[in-house]
Amino acid sequence: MHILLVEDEIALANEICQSLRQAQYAVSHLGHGKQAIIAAQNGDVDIIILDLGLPDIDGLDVIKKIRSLQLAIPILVLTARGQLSDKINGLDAGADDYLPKPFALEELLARLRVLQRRLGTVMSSTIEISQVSLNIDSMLVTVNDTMIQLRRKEFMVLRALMERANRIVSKAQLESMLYEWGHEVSSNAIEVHVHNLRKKLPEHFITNIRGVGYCIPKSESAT
Amino acid sequence: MHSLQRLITFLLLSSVILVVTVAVLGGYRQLVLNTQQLYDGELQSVAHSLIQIPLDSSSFDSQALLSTADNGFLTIQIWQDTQLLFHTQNSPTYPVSQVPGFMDVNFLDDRWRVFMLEANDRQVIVGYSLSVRGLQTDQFIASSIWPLLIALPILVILIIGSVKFGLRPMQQLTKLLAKRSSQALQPIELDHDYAELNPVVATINRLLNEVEQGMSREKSFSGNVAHELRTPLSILALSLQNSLNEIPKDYHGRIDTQKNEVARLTRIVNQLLLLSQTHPEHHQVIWQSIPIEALTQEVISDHYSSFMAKEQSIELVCDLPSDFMYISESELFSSLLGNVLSNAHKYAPVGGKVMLWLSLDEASKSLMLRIDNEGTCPSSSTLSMMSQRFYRAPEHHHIQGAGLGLALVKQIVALHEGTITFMQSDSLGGVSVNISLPVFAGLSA
Repeated sequence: MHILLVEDEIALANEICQSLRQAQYAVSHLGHGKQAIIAAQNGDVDIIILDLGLPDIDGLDVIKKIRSLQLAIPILVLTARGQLSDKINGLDAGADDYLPKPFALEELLARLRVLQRRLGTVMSSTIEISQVSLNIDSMLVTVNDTMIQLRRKEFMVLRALMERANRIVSKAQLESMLYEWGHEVSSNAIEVHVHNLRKKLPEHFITNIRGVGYCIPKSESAT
Repeated sequence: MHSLQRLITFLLLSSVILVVTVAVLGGYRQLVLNTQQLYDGELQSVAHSLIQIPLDSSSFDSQALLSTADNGFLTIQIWQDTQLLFHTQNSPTYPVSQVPGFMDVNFLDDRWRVFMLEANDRQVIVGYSLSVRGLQTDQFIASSIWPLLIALPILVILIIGSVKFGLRPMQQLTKLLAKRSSQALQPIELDHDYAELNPVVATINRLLNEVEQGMSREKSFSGNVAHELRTPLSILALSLQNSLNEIPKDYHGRIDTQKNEVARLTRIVNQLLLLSQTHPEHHQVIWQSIPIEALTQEVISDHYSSFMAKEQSIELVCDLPSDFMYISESELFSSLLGNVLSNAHKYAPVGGKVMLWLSLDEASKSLMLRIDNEGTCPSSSTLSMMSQRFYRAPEHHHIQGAGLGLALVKQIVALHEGTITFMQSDSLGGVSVNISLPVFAGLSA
């Protein structure tokens, strides 16, 4: 996985590069927008992390130029401006995601994982949280190394929750995910699936936050 | 208040009426004078013809003379020596004038203008009634004044209309300016150019432009401050995170403290920026429909890790119609909720509970937002002071925070023209924050 970081602030760029290398990414760094366009054209770049405030050209123009060259490289925009209009402009110009500075490293890594999954090149397709392990490709779930049988929809709900560990996934979000997969969703379908899942998983593995949604808490950061 | 239009109309009308009155009076005087000269000439010629008539001859027909003169208007006396030879019915039997020439005299309850001519011991006195002459002059004047009197109201209407029409550009300017809010700073444009108004419009536009530039400078200033502060904070945060991997575990505690302080600094910078950006005088809300329930769930989700860290529980009770949309700005609404939520979390004990209610108040057409936490409630005087900027309750000084959160919340509530109140929570014992945000009619979906 080769990431191109376009950032003119050298100190920040160095820290991001180091963090990403520690997270097992290959990172190249460029300080100018024009260089970034050339690098994107030459190929060999999987994801671009782009700062909007560049010394030579506006970051938004870099995105537009890359998109006009029919390059589908995912672009994650970084900006210090942090205003809603910046976000809208960035996404309108063709960026895939947006992260306002200052950001936590965890957040950056999480966003990168989402982009990676979209590319279909996730290094590890297994998500592990405490004793539960879920493999996205084989659709196998194990608890304490013992395989458990899940229905298709139960698997989808569990996958959605495990992918977003520590975040609450609302009932509406889960419904729309199942709906995307072509299933008709009845009003209490999610409750039924979660109820069934809970019976097969360790106690307190899925937390219900009343009125908000479900969450799988994760104590330590693990990919 | 004085009205220019009324003043100009009044001045124009007064001038017209004054001039017309003076002209009519002048004309009347002239007419009276002319009539007198005309009548006087007539008297002279009548007197001259009477003085030559032989009164004793048979050709003198006194009856014919009488019928011609005796219309009450003309009076005639003919004297020979001291004998009255002829007189009309309306004249007395004594000589009305002893002096040759014109004279105004009174007899028979009337005032007369008489002319006496003397030749060969004969005196001819002719005269006419001044009151009858006056009546005739008045009739004449009246008939010539009538059209003027009819024309006057038409003139008044025309003047009022013209003044109104002529002042139209000024009224347009007034209307354009009255409609302006402090945020609509685009230049003023009149439909046509006028030499008198152009300098005014140009000056106003120049000032508007300067205000706009000043405001955008202020905006970009806070943007620049954001950039200047956020980038070093990002570097610090990442650098500390990276050094955790390079430094022996014994020193991790110190790094963690630094990380926490950087996070706190970041929060303060963000809140300060948001506080300046959302200042009601220069924040322009980009109104949009917001699915309130989903957004609230998202905000809770964003804060959930800190709740988990304190083993606190949170519950949302949403009593809104399904698919309810509120018109606001999602960033604003998120910071509003986020700040109230993080305060509820901060001041609740470990293992405590936070409850959130969303409902619609049909009577006041408002979105009601209530957030209660478990814990202790400050005194009522503290509650009333709570939303002041930087205010922190003395009993809470051990809890981290700059006290900006609630000030920001209050400002965002003000942008929505809503209200915020603090009281003791009856169900959880802590503070109950009640926010009421009006649903703007016609805007809500």
